[in-house]
Amino acid sequence: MRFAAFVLAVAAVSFYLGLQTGRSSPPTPNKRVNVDAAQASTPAPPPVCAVSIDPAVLRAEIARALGPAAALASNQVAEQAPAPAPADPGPAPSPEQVAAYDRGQTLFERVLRQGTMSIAESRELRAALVNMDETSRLETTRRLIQSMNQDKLKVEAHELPF
Amino acid sequence: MKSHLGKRVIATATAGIVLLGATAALAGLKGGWPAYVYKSADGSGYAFGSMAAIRGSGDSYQDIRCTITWASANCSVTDSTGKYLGCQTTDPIMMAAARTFGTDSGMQINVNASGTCTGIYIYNFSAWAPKAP
Repeated sequence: MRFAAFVLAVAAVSFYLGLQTGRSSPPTPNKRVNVDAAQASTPAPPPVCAVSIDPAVLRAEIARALGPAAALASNQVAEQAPAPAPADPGPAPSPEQVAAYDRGQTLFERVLRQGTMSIAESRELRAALVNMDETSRLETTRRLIQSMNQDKLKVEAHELPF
Repeated sequence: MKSHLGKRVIATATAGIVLLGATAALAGLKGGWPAYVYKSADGSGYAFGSMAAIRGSGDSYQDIRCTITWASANCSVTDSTGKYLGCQTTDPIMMAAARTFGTDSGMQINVNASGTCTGIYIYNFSAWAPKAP
């Protein structure tokens, strides 16, 4: 009980002294020099227990408290390296689109083995292409173009399927 | 009499000059680009041509085209020997350029080894005739 009262008294005195220090006017340069000189002549003060703050943890806590917009403004923009958003895979292809893709791939592999694509095959491939999902259509078309650019595939009478 | 003859000479000369001027005004620079294709063994390269010159060419090989959908553009050029070079792009800026490819325009495509367009250039020159049927 006595010890608790002592601690309270010390805390109250410390608080009062802190208030007085805070209210005092800021030191002028001359006064600061005097204080520094006085500090230099006196022995070093005993080590003070201080709370260390990790800036990264603090930033994360503030961001969490303020929401995603604040996190974007304070953290990601400062680092100038936002993580790329995952690509939207879009809706899954329908069974018809999958069937069209399979037909197109079978046909594509066949004409590639032959080295030529007839008008009939080209029209068949066009029919498959228009029924594919967008990703499959782009990929199949690009592979066709690449094969023709590398002279691995000739298309009869310029009947391109796209 | 002499004066009358002189006036007739001057009038004839004037008419001639006016006619010559009209002919000169009709001249202008005229031309066109037949299909040209350059490509490496890996399929990369570039190609160009203008619509009217290719349409009016004497062979049945030359061709220049762009197929544009909501998601991509496929453009290609085939020269007089049947050499083909094409490319595909999903880049919005290149797709926007391809959309301006008109019946009196010329086009150049730059292509990498995977068949992707690295450049699409559309030309509209006064020297080129409109595409004939």
